[in-house]
Amino acid sequence: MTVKPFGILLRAMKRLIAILLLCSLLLLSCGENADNDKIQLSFWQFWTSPDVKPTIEGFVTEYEELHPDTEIELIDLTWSDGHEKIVVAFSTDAAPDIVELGSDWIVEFADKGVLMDVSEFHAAHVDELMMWEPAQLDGAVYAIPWLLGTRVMYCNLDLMHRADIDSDRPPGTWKELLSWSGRISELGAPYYGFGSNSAERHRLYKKFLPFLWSNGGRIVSEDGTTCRLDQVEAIDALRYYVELSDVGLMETQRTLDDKFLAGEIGFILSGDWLLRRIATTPPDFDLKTALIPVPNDGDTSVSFFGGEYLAISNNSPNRDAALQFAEYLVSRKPNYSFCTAAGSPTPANVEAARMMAEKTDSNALTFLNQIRTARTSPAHPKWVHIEEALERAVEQAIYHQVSPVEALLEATNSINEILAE
Amino acid sequence: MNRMTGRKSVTFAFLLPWLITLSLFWLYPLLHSLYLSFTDYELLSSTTEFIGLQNYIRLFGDPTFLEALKNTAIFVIGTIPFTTVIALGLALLVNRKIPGAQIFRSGYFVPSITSLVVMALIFTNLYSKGGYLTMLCDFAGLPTPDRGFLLSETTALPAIMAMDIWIACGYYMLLFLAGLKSIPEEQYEAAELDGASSWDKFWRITLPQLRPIALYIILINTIKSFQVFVEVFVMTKGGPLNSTLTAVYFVYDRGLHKFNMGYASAAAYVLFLIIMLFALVQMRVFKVGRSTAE
Repeated sequence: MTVKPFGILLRAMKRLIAILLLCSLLLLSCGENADNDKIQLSFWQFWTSPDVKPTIEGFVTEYEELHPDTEIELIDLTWSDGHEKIVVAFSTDAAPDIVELGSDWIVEFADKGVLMDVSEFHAAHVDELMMWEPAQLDGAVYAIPWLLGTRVMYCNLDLMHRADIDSDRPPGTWKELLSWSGRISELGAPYYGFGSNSAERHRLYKKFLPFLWSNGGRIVSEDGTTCRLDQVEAIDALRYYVELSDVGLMETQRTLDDKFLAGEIGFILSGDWLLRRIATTPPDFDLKTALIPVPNDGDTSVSFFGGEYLAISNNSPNRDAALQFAEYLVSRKPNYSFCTAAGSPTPANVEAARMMAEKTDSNALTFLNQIRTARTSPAHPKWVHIEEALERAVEQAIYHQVSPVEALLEATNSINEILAE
Repeated sequence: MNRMTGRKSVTFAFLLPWLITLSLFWLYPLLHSLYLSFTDYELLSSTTEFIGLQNYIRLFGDPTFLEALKNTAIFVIGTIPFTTVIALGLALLVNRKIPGAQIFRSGYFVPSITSLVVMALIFTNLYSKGGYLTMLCDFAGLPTPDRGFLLSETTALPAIMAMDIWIACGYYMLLFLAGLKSIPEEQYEAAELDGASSWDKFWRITLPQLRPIALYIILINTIKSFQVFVEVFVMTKGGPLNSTLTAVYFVYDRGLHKFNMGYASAAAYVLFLIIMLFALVQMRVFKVGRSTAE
């Protein structure tokens, strides 16, 4: 018998191609049915935890019931690689219709022209939502505030008493914070007065900025053309932050939170995620949240704020429908329910924030008070480069590689070069 | 003739899926990134300009990139000899006819099959201030850094290297074990009859016979070590003070975080050339060694 392998293979391949074609036709026909009927919206978001995800899914279901012509596909992102996925999606024209963006990412995307200009929406809702600053570039607005977050000071009152600090209130000034931290640290290991963030990328600068801002310093001038880190306010703030780090424990944010909850740290700056942990497993000591201490009595405490914003892809074929869905998400009721589920005391919707203030406890209320005067990093397309230079300066200073003055002068030169590009 | 053509076509047809995959997902990106390395391409940007060798020239004047190369070189030089020697030692140990050898073999191999991210997270906790490793060092009277191993600029890189050696040893042990099993028993018996000592047997039979597998291990380990990324990404993000910044992390940061894909591609190609150079040198050294032995 003569074997004709090529012939057999050809026949097999023909059959395979026929089957594949048939399958593709079937799939295409199914897709067409779905496409014809409804507006398809894809929504990329970061809330994957089992406590919050059902709430978001509930919003989608409710919205789809209210708008039977719309179908929303929910795609989860993670903080470890979400930014990269969004970048790749935008660069390959595969971006979702709506995407949740961290506040410090908006300008870099807006600068590349991939986000829809929502200035008209902003004009109509400017008083209904808080904190539009991170979403603005060259007079236009590119994202909608959804959920906000700031940093406050958490105090272990028991440790204060053990260190014979004769006060029932948390430290209010820099002097008190430094001196009281020193006294708690004198109790010896494992107790530390202040929990200072170590060399953690994208986190360290957020802990230094409240000291800079509360001391009247700035990163860049108001017109955004010159770096102001070489000014005396900035230098004094970094000097103080180094002193504070020296009397405390320098660790990662996660470890600092753990050690604070274990009752080993007197004072730390942290976000609302720690409130959620406290609510789940209350620690066995008295604690209190407070505004971040200021240089002198009467000064304004200025913390860092960031948040989650909703942006719409410029290339989305359903921009209006996407905007409508975003409008629903930031409206009072969903915004309040979302923040309640997420354990965040700071919704972007003003009415929702008011409802939150009425129902929340004093520790959560501190966040609402702190965010009133909070600021965010300058909205500059090259912010990631500026952030790197600033963070390096703080890192070098707290590791005593160079003095705060030298570190800030070097950072000023680098940032001025970036601003001049 | 027709039959020959038919056979060739069949071979080609069977190779086609792999060739398509190779071309689409390996060859094309490789060549495209070579092209990008000569441009100022930025992610999300609509315009791209050909800038010749500017990215490469800028790279060699960039202190951060040079720091990343230095750290990568320390990582490679500091891990490969240890990993290879320890893996060989473990392979020799578990190759003996001792009770429970199978358990040891499996045990040493477990870290190699566990997710690197999981291992990195576990070690981040072990290395932290108050973590088990720090406590163990304190107990043994060994010096420990004030801030935990990963937060001190002098110990962060060695700590990641130590973890990497521990993880990699098991896999290379298994390869050495396969090499040991393939050495004919008769050669040892003949050597014993000639009165050879254990050392002579190891030096004159085992080691020369393991040369091909050793070359493979060193080569693969060199390439893998030059590309170290996950450990750094999970444990330190290149810090503190860039002390753990490696070449691939630099590429990732410049490309995907700062959008500067042209510059990142140039850095990737510099790394590619360095790896190729190392691989060629290693192959030459082992080849020379083999012909001398022969």
